[in-house]
Amino acid sequence: MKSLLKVIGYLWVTLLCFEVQAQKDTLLVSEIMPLQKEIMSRLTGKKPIKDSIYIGQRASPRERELTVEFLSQQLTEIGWQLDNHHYKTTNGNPFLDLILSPASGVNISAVLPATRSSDEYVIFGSHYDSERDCPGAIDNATGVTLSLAVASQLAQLKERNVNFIIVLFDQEEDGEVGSKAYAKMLQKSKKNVYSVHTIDMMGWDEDNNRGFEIELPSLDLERFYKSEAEKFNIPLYTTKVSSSDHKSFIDRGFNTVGISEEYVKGDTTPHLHRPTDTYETVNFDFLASSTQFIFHIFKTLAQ
Amino acid sequence: MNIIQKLKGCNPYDLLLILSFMLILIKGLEYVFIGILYPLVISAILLSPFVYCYFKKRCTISKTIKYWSLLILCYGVVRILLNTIIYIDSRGIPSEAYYQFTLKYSIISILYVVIGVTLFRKRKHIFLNLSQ
Repeated sequence: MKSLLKVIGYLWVTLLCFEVQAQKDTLLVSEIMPLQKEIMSRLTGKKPIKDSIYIGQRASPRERELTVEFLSQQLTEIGWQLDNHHYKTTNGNPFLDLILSPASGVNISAVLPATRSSDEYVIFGSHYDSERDCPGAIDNATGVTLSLAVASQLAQLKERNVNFIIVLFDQEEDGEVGSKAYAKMLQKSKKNVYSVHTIDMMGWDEDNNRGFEIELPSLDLERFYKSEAEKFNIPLYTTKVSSSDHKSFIDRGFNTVGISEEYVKGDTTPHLHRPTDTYETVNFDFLASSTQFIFHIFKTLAQ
Repeated sequence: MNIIQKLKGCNPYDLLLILSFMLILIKGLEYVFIGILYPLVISAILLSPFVYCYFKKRCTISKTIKYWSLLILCYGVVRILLNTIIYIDSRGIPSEAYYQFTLKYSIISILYVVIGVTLFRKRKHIFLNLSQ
């Protein structure tokens, strides 16, 4: 009789824990989604990014400047220390270099220090620029809003044993120009970087399986992501996609992973690099659930 | 003061020649500051016939100015052609490059052509001044 009561008691406590966790998750989603919708609408020209200025793309120097201003303000408001990285570099083509001025841009960067002394850094981020004539909602305002929502949640953690750096890269669409410049600078800085996580396109999930792909992950990160995804019952696939910002860090020897919707599996936006890549095509439920998962990953790394 | 007086006394075509050197060198130096050397190396190679003529007076400076003016002219024409191609079809052109084809770019390109043509036409005047 006693042991039966014990089992019932154990089951009740377990159920209670699940219930509390579910309530927490719902709370997190209800907090995340309005923030992501708001930022997304500003970045994609649904709402003004500044005063009465609307941007239909984030490709020209002026549009990118406005985006930097807006996102820098967002990061400051959620308590991160802004440390933007300005760079000038080659146009990626010797012929163009002889004709044009060097390429220049700004990687929006901010630091969230550990709550106890640590020299270790976890870096995450996504690119904020878009192709010309493309609002770039899924590619890659989704990555930006995911990163910002995670940043906001991390700032609320009472205990963090590592320092976090968020970087919103410029000029990914021009051949990962921004992330290449940042990775070069990071290598020179000799910071103790534990891992780098870049997010590119997280807004399409037609089969509603919440699945996503990790691109060219290091063995450590692949194992970690897969074991955590199993706990959340999220399908996770490893791919060899190299055409995004994670490649810049892999090339410099950092422990890196790229994160994306199911691009190789084919459950991906059909509007890529088109004028139809708009706010309306974003699956905000998928974006919020992915945000929750990525936040869980960083929370675990912070412990 | 001396330099200003010297410049005042200069033939305008000499000044134009100096301006053309400056434009090319500045382009090279712009890249040196960000750690990329080859634009300056190419500029130096293109300018080397002048240095050669300065030290070895055997060759005629007129021929060198002719070569230089044609080079500047070609550079301006290539810039204009590139602008035209991008105006017709900009697919595959990185945004960073695309947004540099501005009115300022067009004016500078035309300036290169004008300098090239002027230097070519007035090369003998420059030659006379330099040999004095």
